[in-house]
Amino acid sequence: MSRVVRSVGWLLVVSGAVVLLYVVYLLWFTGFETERAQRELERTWALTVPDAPVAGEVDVAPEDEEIELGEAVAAVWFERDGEPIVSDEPLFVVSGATLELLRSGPGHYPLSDRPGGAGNFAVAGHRTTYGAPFWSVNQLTEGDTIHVVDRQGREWTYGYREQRVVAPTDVWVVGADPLGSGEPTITLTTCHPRGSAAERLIVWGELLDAPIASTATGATPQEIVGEVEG
Amino acid sequence: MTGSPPGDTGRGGVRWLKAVLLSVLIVVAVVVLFTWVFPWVEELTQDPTMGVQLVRLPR
Repeated sequence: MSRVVRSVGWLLVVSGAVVLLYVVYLLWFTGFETERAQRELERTWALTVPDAPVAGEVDVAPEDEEIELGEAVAAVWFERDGEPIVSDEPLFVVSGATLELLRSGPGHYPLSDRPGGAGNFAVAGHRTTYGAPFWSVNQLTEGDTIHVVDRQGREWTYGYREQRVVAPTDVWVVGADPLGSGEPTITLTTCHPRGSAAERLIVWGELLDAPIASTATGATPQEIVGEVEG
Repeated sequence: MTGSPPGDTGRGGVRWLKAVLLSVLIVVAVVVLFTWVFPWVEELTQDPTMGVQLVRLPR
């Protein structure tokens, strides 16, 4: 009997150690993986995307280019009174929003619009792990701006509008006009509360510049979330 | 001349079998953890995307 008790005890100790190590890995070590991927995306970005504004002699990516899954779609940062908030450095957004792709950084819902488009540019990002790019996205308030540079080197500025906590099934938030304002929109989706995926925190901004033509295919929200892999 | 006392060979065999079984158990546990349990936990606690539950509903 005592042997059985001792074996169960050891099993519990080992299980506890495995869980503890897994939590440590998720909270800290996944960040190294994302940091390395972001630096690689930054390196590629610097080689292919010109500084804004687009100069004629620079080899600019054409607007209708096919973007491979995992490639950088845009660089995003946040400002309050000209100072960066949420992230000290620009976040490189990859094409696709599977958990696998989100290990490299925030991910673009492929069927949502492009940056600066007349529709909704929707991006998902981790709140607590993999570098936690959207850890403090809830700090955004009225007057803050969300800046996006596309692959043609154009910078788009979105003004913060609102944030809301919704159920994971509320897919309308990534639809073409989630705020019903008719304005070009950026939508950021992340986990809520931190460390749980029970709900989603949604942050919206509206484009302050004149938009370009939409590349969104008119997909419904269900189709958008159904095609996160492109 | 030294030799195993009678019955020692049998006990050695059982010990060897136990070690093999324990090793197999550990390998299976690691494979199950990394293939199913950890990805499932990650999806449950770290998925920032919308509508995964809807997508997985039978159509």
